[in-house]
Amino acid sequence: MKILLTVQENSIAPRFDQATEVMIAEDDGRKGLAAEPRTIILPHRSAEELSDLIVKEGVQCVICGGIEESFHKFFTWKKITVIDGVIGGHAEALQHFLAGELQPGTVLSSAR
Amino acid sequence: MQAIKVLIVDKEMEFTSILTDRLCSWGFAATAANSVEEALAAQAALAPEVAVLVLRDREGRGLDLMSLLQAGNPAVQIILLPCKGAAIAGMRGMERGAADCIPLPLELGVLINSIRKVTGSSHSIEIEESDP
Repeated sequence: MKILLTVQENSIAPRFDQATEVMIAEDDGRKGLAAEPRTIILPHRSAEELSDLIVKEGVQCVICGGIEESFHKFFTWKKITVIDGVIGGHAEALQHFLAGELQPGTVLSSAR
Repeated sequence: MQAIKVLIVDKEMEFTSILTDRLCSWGFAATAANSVEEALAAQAALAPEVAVLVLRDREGRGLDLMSLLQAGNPAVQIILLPCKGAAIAGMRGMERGAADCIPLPLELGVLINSIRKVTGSSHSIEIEESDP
C-alpha cells in the first residue's frame, strides 16, 4: 500500500491545504517498508495540486492533520483511506501506521 | 570532501527554505535567494557550483536570470525546475545550456542525483530518508 504523509517541519502538517512537503512510503504488508520513503516538495500551497499528486501517484492512504470535508469526501470516493487529525512527528506517525495503530485524531508522543 | 555549493532561487521563500534545509541535511552547502538581486549577490559572494532556478511562468522570465548567472560564472551548472505550465520555458532553458530540467513537484532524491551528476560527484542515491 502506498501511503502519503503531509509534512511541515518534520511533523504532520496541521492543515492539508497548507502542506508544501509530503512523504510517500510503501509498506511491504509485513509491518515494514517496501522501499525507503520519498520526499516531494511542492512549488506552493495548493490542496488541488496535492490532491492531483495523490491520485496520480496511486496513493491508497493519506495521513494528515486537518482536511477540508470536500477533499475528505473526494478521497473516500476514490477509495483512498484518510487518517486525519493526526498530531505529531511524521516519522512516528508512519511507524504507528505500519504497526496498525494509527487512527484518525491520534496525538503522538512526539507532540506532547 | 568539500560540500557542493548550491544556490536555490525562487520568489517563494517557503519553497527555498524547505529545499535549502533538506539539501543541507544531505551534506550540500545550500543557500537560498528570493530575488534576482539576492541571487546575483549570492553568486558573487559564494561562487556556487550549481544554481537551481524555479520557472513559474510560461514566458520563462527566470531564464533571464539564468543568462546573468552564466555570464557571471560560465562554469555554473544550472538546474531548472519548471512549474506546471512552464515546461516550454524549461525546454528553452535546456537549449540555452541548462544542465538539467526537473518538473515540479520536486522529488528530492531526483534533484540530489541531478546535482551530483552535473558536478561529476560520485554515487547517486537510492534512498532518501535514513529514518522514516
